[in-house]
Amino acid sequence: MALEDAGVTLDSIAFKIATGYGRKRAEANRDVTEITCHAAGAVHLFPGTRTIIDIGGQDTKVIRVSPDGDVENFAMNDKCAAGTGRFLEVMARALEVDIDELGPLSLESDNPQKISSFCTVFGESEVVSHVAGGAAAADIARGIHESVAHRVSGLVKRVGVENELTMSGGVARNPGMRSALSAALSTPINFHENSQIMGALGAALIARTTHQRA
Amino acid sequence: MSRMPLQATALTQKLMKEYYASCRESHARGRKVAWSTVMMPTEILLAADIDVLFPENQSATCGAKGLGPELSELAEAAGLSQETCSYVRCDLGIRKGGQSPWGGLPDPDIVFCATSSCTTVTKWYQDLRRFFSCEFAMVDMPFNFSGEITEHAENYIVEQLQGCIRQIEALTGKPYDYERLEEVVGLAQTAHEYWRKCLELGATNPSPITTTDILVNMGPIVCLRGTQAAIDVYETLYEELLERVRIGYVAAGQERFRLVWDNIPFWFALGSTVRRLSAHGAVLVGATYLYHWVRDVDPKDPLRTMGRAYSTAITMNQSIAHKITKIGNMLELYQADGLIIHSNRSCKPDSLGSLDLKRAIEDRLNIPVLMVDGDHTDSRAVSDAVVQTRMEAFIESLEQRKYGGLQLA
Amino acid sequence: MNDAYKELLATCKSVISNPMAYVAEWKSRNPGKKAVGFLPTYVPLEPIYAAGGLPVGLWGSDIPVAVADAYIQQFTCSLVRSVTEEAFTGMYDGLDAVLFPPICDSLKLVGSSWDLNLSGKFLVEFANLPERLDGAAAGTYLEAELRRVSKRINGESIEDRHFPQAIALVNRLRESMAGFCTWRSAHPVPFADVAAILKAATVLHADEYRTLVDKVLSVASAPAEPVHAIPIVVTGLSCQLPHPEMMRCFDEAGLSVVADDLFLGLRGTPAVEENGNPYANIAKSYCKSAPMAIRHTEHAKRHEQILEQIERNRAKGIVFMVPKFCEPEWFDLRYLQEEIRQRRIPNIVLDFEEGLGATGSLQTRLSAFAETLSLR
Repeated sequence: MALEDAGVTLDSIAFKIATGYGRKRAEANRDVTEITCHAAGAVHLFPGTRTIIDIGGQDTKVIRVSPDGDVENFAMNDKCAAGTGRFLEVMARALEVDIDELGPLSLESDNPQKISSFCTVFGESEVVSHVAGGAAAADIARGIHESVAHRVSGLVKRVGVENELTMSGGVARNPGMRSALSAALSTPINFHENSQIMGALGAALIARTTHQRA
Repeated sequence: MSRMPLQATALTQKLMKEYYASCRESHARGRKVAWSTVMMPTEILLAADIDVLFPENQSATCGAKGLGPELSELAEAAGLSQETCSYVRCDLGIRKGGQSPWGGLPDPDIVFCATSSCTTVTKWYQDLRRFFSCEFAMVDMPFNFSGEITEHAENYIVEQLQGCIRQIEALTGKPYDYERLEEVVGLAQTAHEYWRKCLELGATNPSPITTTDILVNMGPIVCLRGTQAAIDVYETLYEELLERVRIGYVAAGQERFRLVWDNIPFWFALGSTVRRLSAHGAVLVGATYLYHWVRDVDPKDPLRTMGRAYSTAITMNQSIAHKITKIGNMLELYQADGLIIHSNRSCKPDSLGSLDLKRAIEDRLNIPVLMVDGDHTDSRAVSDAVVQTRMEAFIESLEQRKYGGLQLA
Repeated sequence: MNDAYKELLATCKSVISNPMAYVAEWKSRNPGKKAVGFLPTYVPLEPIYAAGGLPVGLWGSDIPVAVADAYIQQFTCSLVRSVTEEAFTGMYDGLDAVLFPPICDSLKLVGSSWDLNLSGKFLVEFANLPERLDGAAAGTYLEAELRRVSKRINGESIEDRHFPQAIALVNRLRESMAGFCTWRSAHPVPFADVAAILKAATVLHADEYRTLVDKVLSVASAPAEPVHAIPIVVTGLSCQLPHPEMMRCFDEAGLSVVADDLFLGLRGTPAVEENGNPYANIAKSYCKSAPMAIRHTEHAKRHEQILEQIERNRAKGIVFMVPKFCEPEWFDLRYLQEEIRQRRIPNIVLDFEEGLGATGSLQTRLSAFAETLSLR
């Protein structure tokens, strides 16, 4: 399907790299973690990148790369969902807002409501009590994004903030998230409209290099 | 009945304020300052004219002022995991430039820790030694798992206290004054006795004093037992409570349910917890925490009796079986309708075993128990809404039990 | 690998996959003798062997925890929870006694809960080891404490004359473990196997273990198969020996763990003098324990120990594998990581929790770490 869209055939592919959680099971010439792939993709699109923030569904990664684009260090959230896309999903549901609308909605806020708990379950009950307290949906939405941004910025500080920052992954398309994160880190963040395929792009780039070297 | 202010509270506030001010001044004039854990026989320091300050108390105050999350975050940014006790994170947060509600503590010349509260303090105080490049003293207090302290454990504690005294001599450059120690321990024992009598009067049904009012008067027994000033506070409090009991003064106005609290409070929500409970006529009449200072020490044999007291009076360092007996007795003394246990993720030694405690109190004494998850200073680990719901549901169940059904408010 | 190694590994794997079956079998061979379980990381084994008994390390497994949740809160490490699950579901009923070293706040209180709930099944005792190792007071105290514990678990005082043999046996057990660790630095074997072999040292009778390891060490070692794995050091688990399934992630990521400080208690105490007052001698050895998070020692000593391991084994990086909810290890991590970073040694922190299907994320992190190392 994807091959058709791209107008290529399977046998025209010289070297395949699998990445992501299923990478070990895919038929490929080799597998590379999504961390290395996201880094390669981000550096390709924004060559000045030194820090990559990837907020995914289950986990969040902060990756530091050298000026040459090699991964130097990275940090991931622990097993709990706070600071991940999952947190946003749960909160959107608690707020009864579509997940795609949560970000734009948050930008309308002028009085963000604080979500202070670092536990998703507790955070959800905070959202519910803000709703019950009559707070505006936009203000709660902003609070939700600030909570994630706060959590992620802690992770960023663990590897050290180094400009430029680039966001990758699907959550990067959420303007509320970009705005909150940029505010939390007091620095602008690079964003590409195709952010969700940055990892795949990176995998392709690594495949090309590996193949050429071989 | 109109509200009667407590003279003792005014005395406590004045005493503690003057104490902290004088520590700051005298430190500037070269007097030695020690930082110590709370569950440490600090009588040995007071007897050597060393000012003693307690980072745990500062952290509790941070909690009460709502500074827990921001100080914790500073500590976490400095590399200390969220898995550690939030008292330690508050202290490190202040050392990393965070705001102290007290304007900070004067730097220590020596730090003292005793494992009677937890093993956390050893790691914490090693860090303090490194941070301040100061002397470090420690008393390892073996866990009392059988209910009785063994003779060799007692000797071990005494020998370590003697070691601490040698460190004090080196610090002050003076031979240690053992007569002065006897005097200080004698004063401490008098303070302990008044403290015990105040708690016993506080247990009167209905209660002449709220637990919050006792908590705000803890400063002297924790920090200054061994001084005449501490005795004066508790003698005053005792007289006031006698008078209140005599005239039938009920501190909470009404007591539909008498509840006891186990573990350190949520310092950041103490007021709101009490208010919420009282909205339903539920009153905190006692707290197990206060009983750590119900101790017996003997000026004739100070080191040995202090060692024994720290192995038998502090439930954090004792078996669950012992804790069950102690709290069971207390619930009967208070004629309590229920027990609220705070399962405090920052204080494992006082929290693990709570599930056994809950079962035992419910089964043996037929007293309902509520367990709430929380943290003593880090409000990010606590969901206010969840706590509120659980407390209200608990009171509803008490209501059905005690009054046969829900009452219209 | 040679046949002796295959035999060692097969026996160890079988014993740790079902330690209680081994205990039952040992007891049928040794009627009237006691099997005494112990919690990590260390209790002196000599008094158990002196009475002819079998010490059995309790390590739990990756079983889902359900029953234990009714006794201990979830803010305890996975080892404590999993062992409690096994104990409360009757898996340890074949033991005569269990010894707890109250080395952390969790073990103190969890041991107390076992005592409260399980003492009808087996004796629950505390080997109340001192937290500090400095000064004469700790040694004197420990000597008396060991006499007491020995009498309690054995039901009678063991005469001193039974000790030299038991002390020699445990000394040789330490030698076997150390010998194996040296051997494996030169013969890279999967980390999963290392974990299994070290773990079995606390379950198999010391004599049987030594015989198996000696065979491996005595065979002129065939040249090691070429290994492309990247040498690294693991630290942070001084009380734990993870389930081999979990350790396989290191091997799959292409990382070869050439040194570690897993389960340092027994390995980290030096040989005990065989002659003289046995209890005093054991106490003396304990007070010379290697630095680890659960003992009161200076930060610098632990840092030196780890840096030395990295240097000696030419490791390319270090993995901090720190158990979730283990306060002592998380405290130590702060300065240790600072020290490692200053030296620009690549490192990664993983919070460790057995079970919960955590291997997927562990694998990603380790593979990514391997990728960063291979770029250097």
